[in-house]
Parts: sequence; C-alpha cells; structure tokens
Amino acid sequence: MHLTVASIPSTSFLFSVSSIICSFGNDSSPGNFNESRRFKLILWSIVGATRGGPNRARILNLLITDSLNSHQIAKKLNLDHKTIRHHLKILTKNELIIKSSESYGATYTLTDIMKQNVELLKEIVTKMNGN
Amino acid sequence: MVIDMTEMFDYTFAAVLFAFVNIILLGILITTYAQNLRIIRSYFTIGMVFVAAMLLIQNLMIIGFWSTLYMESSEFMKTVDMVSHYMFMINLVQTVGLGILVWITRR
Repeated sequence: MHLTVASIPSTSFLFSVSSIICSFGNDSSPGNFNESRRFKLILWSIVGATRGGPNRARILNLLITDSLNSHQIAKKLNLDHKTIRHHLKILTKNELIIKSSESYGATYTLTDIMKQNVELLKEIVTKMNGN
Repeated sequence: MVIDMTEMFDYTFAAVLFAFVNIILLGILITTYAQNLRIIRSYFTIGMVFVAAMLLIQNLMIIGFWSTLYMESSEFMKTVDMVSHYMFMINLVQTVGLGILVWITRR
C-alpha cells in the first residue's frame, strides 16, 4: 500500500530520506520499502510534531473500536466540532482514517494500514498523560 | 556614475537579522514541541525539543558573537565581513526551512 502525505509536504521529503536510511541494514530491495518504519514516521510526525497531535492520537484511539462521525467524536472528546473536522481532514489526507461516504454524518474508520499498526498507536496512547 | 549595490548591502547585519527571525521561529517550534512533550513522553518528542534547542543555541551564538567579538574587534570584523555572504545565505536558507516547519507544525 502506498502512503501519501498531501497535508505535510516536507514529510514526503523525510520519507525519501528515511526510506534510504531504512533500506540500509536490511534485506529489502530498493522498491520494497519498509512500510512499517515509514508508517511509524508518519504517525509520530502527525502525533508528536504538530500542534494538534495529541488530539489526533485521541481521535485515532476512539476509532480503534468504533466507527464514529465528526459530531460523535467532538462530543466524546469534548472538543469544538470545527477543530475535530480539521483533524479528520488531516488524518484522512494522510490515509490514517477513511470516510465511509460523502453524505452528511458519514462515519470514519481506520484505514487498513492503520489497523495493521494499531499496536504502535496504542503504544503512543499509553505514553500520553491523562488519556 | 556606477554604484556597486553589493557594497551597499550589509550582509553581516542581514545575517544577524535572519538569526533573530530564526530565534522567533524556533521559539514557536519549541513551545509546540514542549506542549506535546508534556502530554506524550517519548524519545521522538524529546528529540524534537532537543534538535530545536540546539538550533536555538546556534542562532543565539551568532547574535552573541556579533554583539561582542564583531563589534569590539576590528580584526575579527574584517574576517567576518569576508565570509558574510555565506553567513547570510546559510541563515536565509535556515529561515526558509524553519518557516516551512512552523507552517507544518501549526497546521
């Protein structure tokens, strides 16, 4: 699966660098990137290196078990609906979550790659104070 | 009469000016990273604060050298002025890079 980082332009540069670094010391061919390490970099960049990162981790944590719409997420996290919509847009652009449809009240779920790396998300959430 | 524009432009002063801008940008970054570090304690978040702090020290040192050694020693001033174009370019590139990083971080 190919990951895009439309909302974070310089992260794509980081990917290129990291994919070169990751290709050293393992048996992967140049075309076969270490997806897990690349994904780890995306997730940490979005959660740990942006202003709304911790709230994005909370949103992802909520979506592990349930498919929720933006209103439900805003209510559960006690955050402004507009803020939640912004975070959902960033998470969708980076292919961490997916919208079920384009209709009003559409629910969001984790993407396949996010589901595969859910342990990493749980690891981040356990490091959060007062999660 | 031909005026040499390169002589009119003080590259050292411009470099210092960009160092000030870098300090402001790094202040914004460190604030954001420190807020994240308070919530998520990990090597990644500690690393982000550390890297930004190192760059902050670098820019503070530029200001420090400029305000002390450069201003007080004419010999040092001559030497610095000889490479001021490079200093200016380095700081300008750093300002652009940090500007992009701030934009990404505040999104």
